[in-house]
Amino acid sequence: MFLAAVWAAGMCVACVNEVDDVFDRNATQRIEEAMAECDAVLQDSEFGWRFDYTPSNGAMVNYVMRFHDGRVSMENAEGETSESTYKVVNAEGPVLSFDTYSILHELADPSEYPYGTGQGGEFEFVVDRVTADTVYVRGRKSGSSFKLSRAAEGEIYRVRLEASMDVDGGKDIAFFHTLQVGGQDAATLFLGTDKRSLDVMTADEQVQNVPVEFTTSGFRFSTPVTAGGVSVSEMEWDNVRKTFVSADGSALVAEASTSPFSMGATVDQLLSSPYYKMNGASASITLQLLEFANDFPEWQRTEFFFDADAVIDTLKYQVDTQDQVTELGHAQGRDVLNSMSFVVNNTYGLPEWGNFTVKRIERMDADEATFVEGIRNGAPANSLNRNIFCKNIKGVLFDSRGVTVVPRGGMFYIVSSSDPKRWLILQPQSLPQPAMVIPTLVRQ
Amino acid sequence: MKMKKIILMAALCLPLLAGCDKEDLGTSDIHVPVFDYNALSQTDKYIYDNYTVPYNMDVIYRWNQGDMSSDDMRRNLVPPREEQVEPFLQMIKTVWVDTYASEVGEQTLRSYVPKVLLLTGSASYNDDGSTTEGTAEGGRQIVLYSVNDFDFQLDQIMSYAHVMHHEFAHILHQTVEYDTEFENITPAYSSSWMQMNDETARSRGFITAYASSNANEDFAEMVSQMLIRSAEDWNALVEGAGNAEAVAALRAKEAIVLSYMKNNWGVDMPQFQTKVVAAIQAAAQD
Repeated sequence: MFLAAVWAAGMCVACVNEVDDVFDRNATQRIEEAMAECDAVLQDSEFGWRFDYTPSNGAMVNYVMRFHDGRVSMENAEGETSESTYKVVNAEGPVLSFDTYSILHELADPSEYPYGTGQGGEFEFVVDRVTADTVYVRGRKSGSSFKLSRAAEGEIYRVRLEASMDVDGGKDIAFFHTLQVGGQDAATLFLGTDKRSLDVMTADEQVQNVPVEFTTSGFRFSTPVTAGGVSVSEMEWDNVRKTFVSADGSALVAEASTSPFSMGATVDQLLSSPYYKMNGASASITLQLLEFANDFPEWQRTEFFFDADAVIDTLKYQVDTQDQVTELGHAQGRDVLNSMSFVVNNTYGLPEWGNFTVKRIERMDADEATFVEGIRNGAPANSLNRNIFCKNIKGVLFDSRGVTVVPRGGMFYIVSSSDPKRWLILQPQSLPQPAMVIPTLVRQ
Repeated sequence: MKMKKIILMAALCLPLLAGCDKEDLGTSDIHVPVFDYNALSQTDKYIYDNYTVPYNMDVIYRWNQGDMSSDDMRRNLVPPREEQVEPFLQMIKTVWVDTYASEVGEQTLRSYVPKVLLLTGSASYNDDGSTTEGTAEGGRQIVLYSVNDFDFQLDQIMSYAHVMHHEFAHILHQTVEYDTEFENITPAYSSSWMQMNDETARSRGFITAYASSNANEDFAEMVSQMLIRSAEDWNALVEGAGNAEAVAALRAKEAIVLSYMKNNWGVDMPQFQTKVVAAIQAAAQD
């Protein structure tokens, strides 16, 4: 009887369907709902979605995409457009698949260099999470996370203004831009630090920060800018000229090799700080400096000295044929550091100064200077010249046409006059003590 | 007594068991798409009218990872440009579908064509840097690459015509076997065909290097290489094999191909060859 009761109890438990469902719908329904929700959210954005995408082997590209009924139209900063198909499918959960060729596929195309892999882009994205304003996705191959953000009105023009004028983010862009009226430079333009305004410098050398609003065809100055005798308010994107042109065609944004108006006594400002750290240059040179440090670990430190009164240690060493180092002498004194070195060779475990010393800064104008290449210890400072990264830096500094010095956001931008797409960024630092250790090596 | 207990127990459990039967299985609302021709895109209408209805073929051009072979999945490929699909398929129809249909009839062709044509936009890069134009999986699916690069050049069209006629020759010989004597003409088949160029292969009695990989590839290469060339060019290719023994071997294979196509499929190869070459020329745009 007891056994039977146990058996019956077991049966009863098995029969009673009291286990709460974890989900209120079955797996098929849930995945279909998730896909439908994702597609509905994507289609429900008046101005589309901004997709900032970085392929595995390339730089970030910003797209604005509009989704409608299985078709997606896209634009990028360069003014390229495409229309193609997309679908949301069930693969590893909901997957947003751009399933025919678009400008997004250019990054994934193995027919683009390097052949076979291209830039390592993708066109299928697992949808991780959908909110009203953000769709969180992850590359199906790479697993890298990205997001699509609900775009505001004129989003693509914001992308294009930033891509062409943001000196800290843009790639392959000129440092200087002007507002040209009738082919003449009427104002110098910089993107404001909030990236939603322009710093406008007119012929009177006054700088005015003017907020901009993005529109369906470009942007609008919140207050009209008067330059070169015209008043400019509405700017529209011209996809042939790849720039913004005023609504009446009288003015346009153009790249410039330097500012047509004096930036002020910027060289004096630069020289007022004794010690600078090179934070980078244009984006490419920044990266190369990092690579430089990785590839050449024996070269250390990046330092600049300009007209600085400082304590200098001079050390004298002897290196014998077995590369054994012996200290011969040590002297300390004060001197003016008007030279600069940016790398230190540590081959002997000693802080031996590398090369690229600058002996002299020649003024060209209040905001322009040239750095004249000097010598080190009686020998031409050129042992790093073969190095591509040093060549880039040298190309900016030791150019006979000089540089323009532009202070912005606490940094000094040293912009090459012969190639306005190249610049170095210097950050003022306090002077270390002693400022400089000059080792002298005596080889036997 | 014991029996009574069991009956009691069973009675006790019955209502519970009945309760189990009433478990809610949920309502099914699985979406079954309804075919609507008018809702198709222009490209999809073209495929439906020219491939699906007459030949029961599906053409896949919208990317779906599940359609790719495992080998293709590890490669980097991109889907075709939508606007390239129709002109590309029209070319395939001209140089392959229509020429075959006019030889064997639509109904016969419909029975044997591969059921799926899969198009990809980019080339398929091999590890050695070379590219593959097309692959086939059994008789079911043929994959054609580089659709985005297609711009009606004669060499491109010859290449795609070669792939299609090659793969279809496989389907034919898998349906009706060719004379086993074919395998004995040049029995030195080898998997190391990649180390050989076509010229060397011909001097050994194989029409291309790939033909030397095995007898089935040899047969498909004989059929397809013959069809994409004029009789004059074909004869020049065979006669230029470099030695009498090789020429004789190629001629012996040719004879088997001619009689195989004639006796089993009613195809007059010289006449078919003329049609295919004319179609290739017609599809090319200078």
